[in-house]
Amino acid sequence: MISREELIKSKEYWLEKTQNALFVELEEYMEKNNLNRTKFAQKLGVSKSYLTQVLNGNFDHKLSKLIELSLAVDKIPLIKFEEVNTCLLLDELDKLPIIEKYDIKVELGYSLSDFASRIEHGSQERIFEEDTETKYTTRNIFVIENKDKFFA
Amino acid sequence: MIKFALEKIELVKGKQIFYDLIIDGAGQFSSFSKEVETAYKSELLTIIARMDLVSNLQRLPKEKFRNITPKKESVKEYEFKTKHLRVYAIHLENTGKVILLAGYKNSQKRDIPSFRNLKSQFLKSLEDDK
Repeated sequence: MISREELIKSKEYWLEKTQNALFVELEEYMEKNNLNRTKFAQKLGVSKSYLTQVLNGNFDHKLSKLIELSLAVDKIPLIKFEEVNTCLLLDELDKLPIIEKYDIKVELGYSLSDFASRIEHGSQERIFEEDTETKYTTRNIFVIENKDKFFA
Repeated sequence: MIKFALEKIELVKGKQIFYDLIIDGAGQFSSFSKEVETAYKSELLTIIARMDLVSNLQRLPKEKFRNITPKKESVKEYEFKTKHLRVYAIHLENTGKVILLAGYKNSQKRDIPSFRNLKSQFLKSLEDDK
C-alpha cells in the first residue's frame, strides 16, 4: 500500500498539481472573459486542439509554453523550491498548499525603491506570515502597486 | 447479508473526507491498491493525487474526474480516470466521498453495473441501520 510520504515524494503528485493549477487558471480566465475555446485559442496563439489538450489537463510540454500561457492570462507562474522534508512536515500539519495563492493583505510601508533594493540584493527577509484557513505560505517576494502604496 | 463499513482513506488529505467501503472486512480501494499491477502503480499515484485535489475542492477536467450520475438519482456518482484505471465513488451528504469500486478500463463495462449494484445495497444498509 502506498504511504502518504511516498505520494508526496512522487513525480505524479506534483505533475498533477501543476497541470491542474494551469487548468484552473485557464478555465477561470475563459469564464471571466466569456471566451469559448476557439476564441481563446486564437488569443493564445495556439491551435484549438492544443488548447483542448491543455484544458484536459494533459499539459506536460516545454517550460517556456507554461510561462507563455500564464502570461497570456495575465498570470505569473511563481515557482518555489522547498525541501522535501519541509513539505512532509507541512503535510503533517495540513498546511501543504494545493495551489499557492498570494493574498494581498498587509501594508508594507516601504517605498518602491526601498522594496526594489531589498529584492535586488537578494534579501530573503520575511515580510509577513499568515496562517489562516486558506492562506498557508510565507510570502516574501510578491508585491503589487495599489495607488502609491505597496502591499504584499 | 453483506456487512458494510467505512474506513477513512488517510492517504487523501483535504477538506472533504474520502472513505473506503469495507465489505466483510476488506477495503475496496485498499485491496485494489495492494493488488494493482506494477505497471499501473504510476497511474494509481495519479488517481490518488486527483482524489487529493477533489478533497481540497479543486475543479478538475472532466477527462480526469467526472460526474456519472444517471438522471433521477439523488446520490451523486463520480468516476476518477487515468489511461488504464477507473475508481468509482459516491458522495454522501455530511460524510464525504465513498470509494465503492476500483478497476481497470478494460473491465469498466461490467464494473459500472457492479458499482451501481453495490451503491444500492450500501444505501439500503444505511437506511436499514436508521
